[in-house]
Amino acid sequence: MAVTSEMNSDNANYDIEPVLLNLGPQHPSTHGVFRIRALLDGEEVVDVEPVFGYLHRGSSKLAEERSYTQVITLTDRLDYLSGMTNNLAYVRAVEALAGVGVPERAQYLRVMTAELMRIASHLMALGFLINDLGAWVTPLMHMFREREKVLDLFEMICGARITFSYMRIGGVSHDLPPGFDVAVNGFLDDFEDRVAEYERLLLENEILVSRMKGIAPLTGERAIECSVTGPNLRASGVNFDLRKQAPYEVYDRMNFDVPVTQNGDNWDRMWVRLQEMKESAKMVRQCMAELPDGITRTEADFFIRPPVGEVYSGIEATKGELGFYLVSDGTIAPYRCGIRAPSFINLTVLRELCIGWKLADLIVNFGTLDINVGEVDR
Amino acid sequence: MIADLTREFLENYLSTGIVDILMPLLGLFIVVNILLGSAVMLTYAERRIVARMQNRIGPNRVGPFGLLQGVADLMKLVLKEDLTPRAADRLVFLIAPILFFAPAIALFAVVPFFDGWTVADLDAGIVYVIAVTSISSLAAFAAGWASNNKYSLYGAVRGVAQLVSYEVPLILAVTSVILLSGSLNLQEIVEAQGIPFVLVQPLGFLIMLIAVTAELNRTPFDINEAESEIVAGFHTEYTGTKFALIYGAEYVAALGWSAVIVTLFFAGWKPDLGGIIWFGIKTSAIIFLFFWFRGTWPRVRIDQMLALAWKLLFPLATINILVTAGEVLAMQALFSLEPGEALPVAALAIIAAINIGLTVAVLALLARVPGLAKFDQQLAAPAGAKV
Repeated sequence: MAVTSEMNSDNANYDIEPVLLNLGPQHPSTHGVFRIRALLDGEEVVDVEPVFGYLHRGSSKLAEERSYTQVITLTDRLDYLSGMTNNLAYVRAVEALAGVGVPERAQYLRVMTAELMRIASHLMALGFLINDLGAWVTPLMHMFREREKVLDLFEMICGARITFSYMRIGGVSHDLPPGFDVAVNGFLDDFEDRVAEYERLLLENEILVSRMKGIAPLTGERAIECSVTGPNLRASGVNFDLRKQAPYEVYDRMNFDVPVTQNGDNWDRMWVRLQEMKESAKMVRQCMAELPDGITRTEADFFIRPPVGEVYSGIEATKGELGFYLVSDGTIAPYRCGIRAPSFINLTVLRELCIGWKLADLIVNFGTLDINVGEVDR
Repeated sequence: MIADLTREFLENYLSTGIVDILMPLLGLFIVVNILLGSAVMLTYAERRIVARMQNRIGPNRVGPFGLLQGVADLMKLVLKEDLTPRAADRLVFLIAPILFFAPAIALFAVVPFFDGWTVADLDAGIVYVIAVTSISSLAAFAAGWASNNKYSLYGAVRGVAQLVSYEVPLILAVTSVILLSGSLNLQEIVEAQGIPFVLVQPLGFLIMLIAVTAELNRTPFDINEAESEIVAGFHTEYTGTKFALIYGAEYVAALGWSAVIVTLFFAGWKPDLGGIIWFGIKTSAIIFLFFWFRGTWPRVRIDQMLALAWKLLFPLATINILVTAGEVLAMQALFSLEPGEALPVAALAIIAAINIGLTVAVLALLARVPGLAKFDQQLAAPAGAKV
C-alpha cells in the first residue's frame, strides 16, 4: 500500500523526494515522550519508524535488586494510567511462584479495583484520542472529570491516586473504608449517564465518523500474527479476553460481555473501549453487591522466598495482556523479572496501520492503539 | 459629532492644515486601539467561554474575574526575547506577522458600525473585504516558508490549499447577497435589508459561515495550525511580539469577519436600538458561535476539507446564485422595478419563504433524513458487532 513519489505520475517530471518529519519526543500528541519518524510524500505517509526509550527506567533490572514485595512499587510506574492492573499482574505471578492463596474478599476487591482502573484508563484513551482528532480539549476535560472520581475512590481505598501499590502478595493492603459503598454506587449511577452522554456526543458526530470509520483497518489474522491483544484485538473480530478465556480471581463469577467488532478500524477500536467501560461498571456493581466478609490478606513473609522455579502469569490489563515472567533462585529478590507489556507489543502494527494514510490519520491511528510510554519503555 | 468637537478644540491651538492631517490619524489611532483592546479581551473571552464548556473555571486571577489576563499575557509576550531561527529567511520572517496583522485591521475600514459611521465608505466595499482578507493567507504562507521548519512548511502548504478552496464558496455566497441588494457598498447592503438577509438567504448564510470558519483557520478547519499534527503549523517558530501579532491578528480577523457577516446577513446596525451597541451585540453573538465551534468539534482531515469545499459548498453556492438570480428577476417583473432598484419588503418576504423551504429541503437531503433512524443504528454498533 505504500505510495512513493515515483508512483505518482503527475510528479514524474519533477525531482521530488519524501519529507522526513520528526514527531516527538516533544510533540503535542505523542502521549508522553514517544517519537515517530514519519516519511511523508506530501500529506501521505510513506514509512513510519517508532523510536522509543526516552522513558526507559530499567524496571526489569531494578526488580532484581529488590525484594518481591518492593517490586510492587515499580509496577505502579509501568503503565502509570493503570497502576491497579499492573499491581495485580505482578502479585499474581508471585503468588503462583510462591504458592500463596488469596482470601475471597481480597479477590473481589482486586477485581473491583481492576475494573475501576479499566474505566479510568479507557477514559484517558478516548479523551486523548479525541484531543488528537483536534477537538480543543473539551472531550478530554469531560473525561478527566469522571477519571477524577475514580481516583477519588482509589484515594479512599489506599490513599494514593496514581501509584497505588494496593495489591499485596496474598491479598490487598487495605480493606474498604467506611462509606465506600455509598461513594462507589454514587459514582456508578452518575457514570451510566455520563457514558450515555459520551455515546451521544461521540458516536453521532459526523466529523468523528468521517475521520475514523474505515480508517486503518487491521484484520484479525494480522492482529494475531503480531500478538496484538486487548481492545485492539477485539476490535478486529477476535473474541479473546483473558477474563473470559482464562478467568482469574473471581472473573468466572462475573456477569459481563466482551464487546467484539469485525472491522478493526479506528472507529471500532474506539467503540470497543466505550462499551468495555459499561461492562466494567457492571462488574464493579456486582462486586460491591456480592462482596463477602472475611480477611483481605493472607499472612505472607515480607521477605518472601519463593522456591526455585519460574512462572509466567498474564492478566487482561487495560491495554492488553500484561504478563510477568518471574524466575526465582530461592532468594528474597527475583532472579529475573520479564514483563510482557501490551503497549509495546501492540506497537508492532503501527507501521502497517499508518502507511498509505494521511499524516492526520497517523496521529489518530497512534491514538486508537492506546499505548502508554511508561509501559513501552519500562 | 465628537469629531466636530475635537476639530474645533484642536483648531484653537493648531493651524487648519495640521488639523486636517491630524484628524484622520486620530481617528485611525482610536479605531486601531479599540481593535487591539478587543483582541486582547477576546482571548480572555474565549478562554473563559471554552473553559465553561469544559467544566473548568478559566483564568480568574489577574484583575477582577481575571479580566486583565489578556493584558498580562500580552506583556509577557512583548517582554520575551525575540528569537529568529538561524536558518530562517530573516526579512520575510519579520514581515510575515505584520503582513498577517495589517489586513485584519484594514478590514474594518469599510465596516458600517452605524448609519454613516464608516471609516471609508467605498462603493466596492465587499470586494475590498475579500481582497484584503486574502492577504492574510499569503502572510501565513510567507511565515511558514520563512521559518524553515517542516511543521511550518506543512502549515503553509495546507493554508494555501485552504485559501484556494474556500475563497470560491465564500465569494459565491457573498454574490447572492449582492444580487439581492443590488449594491457592493456595505452601507447600502445594510439599508437594502428590509428583512435580514439571513432569512432571505439561509443557504447563503450557512455557506458563508462555513467558509469564514475555514478562512479564519478555526476549528473544525484549523488544519494549517493543527496542534495535534503539526504543533502550531505556520507559526511554530514564532515567539514574543511576533507571536503576539499573529495570535492577536486571528482574533481581530474573527472580529472583522463577524462584523461582515452581521452586515451582510443580520441587517448590520438595523434596527436602530441605541447606536453601535446593537451592532456590537450581533457581532459578539457570531464570535460566540466561533468559540462554540472550537469548544465542540474535532478537526476534519485536509482531503475531507477540500472535498467539502469543492464537492458540496461550491455546487450548492452556484445553485443558490442561480435560484436567487431567477427570484430577483421574477420579483422585478412582479413589482415592475428598474434593474438595480432595491427590492421592497414584500418581494424579500416572498423570496425568503421560497428559500427557507429550499434550504430545509437541501439540508434534509444532505442529512439523509429519510433513513436517519437506520443511520443511527449503524453508528451505535459497527457492522458485525456482537457484545
